[in-house]
Amino acid sequence: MNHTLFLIAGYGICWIGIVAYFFHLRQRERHANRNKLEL
Amino acid sequence: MKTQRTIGFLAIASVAVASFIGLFVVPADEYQGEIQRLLYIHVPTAWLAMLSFLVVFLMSLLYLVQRKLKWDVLAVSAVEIGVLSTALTLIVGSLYARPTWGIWWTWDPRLTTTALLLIIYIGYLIVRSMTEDPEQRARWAAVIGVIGFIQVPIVYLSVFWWRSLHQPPSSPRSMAAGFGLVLLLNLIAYTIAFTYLVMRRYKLGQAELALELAGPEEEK
Repeated sequence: MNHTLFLIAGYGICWIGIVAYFFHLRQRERHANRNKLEL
Repeated sequence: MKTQRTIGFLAIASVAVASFIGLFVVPADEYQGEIQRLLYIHVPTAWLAMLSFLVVFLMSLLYLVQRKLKWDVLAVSAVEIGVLSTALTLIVGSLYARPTWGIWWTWDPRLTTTALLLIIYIGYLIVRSMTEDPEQRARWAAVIGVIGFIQVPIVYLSVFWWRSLHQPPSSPRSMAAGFGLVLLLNLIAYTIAFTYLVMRRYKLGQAELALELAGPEEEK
């Protein structure tokens, strides 16, 4: 069994998960800032 | 803002360095081979999940005692990151299990209790979405945050209480010096990343709460 593929998948999913959550936060921050300006 | 940015850069740098050492510098394990390198992310994500839910427990208790919404905001910030960490622990664990155990998943005590932990805190987030009243939402969530924490020691002790396929908890002390040090480095790196994300999520939570309290007419 090719362990390298499992390593790429494991590390890849972990980092993508964290980065995706970071961008999700950024998007929500932009949304909140826009609403604050409109108040 | 400056502190947050510094922690952000520190998180990226430390995760990059720790991962590089775990993937390319430290030798492969004699028995498990290259796949053992997954341990350097599997253990930190599991640790972050436990740490997050401990924060949730403490913040929920504080909210129930003091009734200050800032504790609720901090609790939900930690829950989101805890849910992400638990999901990553299960996915990486499954990728680790296939080459070492020969299976992707089994209803082993450690795996089952961890899956239940994930379900409990997804439930926490679902319950929050069921009411728009910030006080009521915080109260309901705090009760789940306190009761749900019972599952954390159950997950940790599951490998001692029942006959489990999963090995006992790995820590820098339970491993040979070189491997243990790399694990410690990864634990520190991911804890910095966790701190950064919680700080950012907390700030966002406060901004969203302020908008919510300002009134629904103004909010678009």
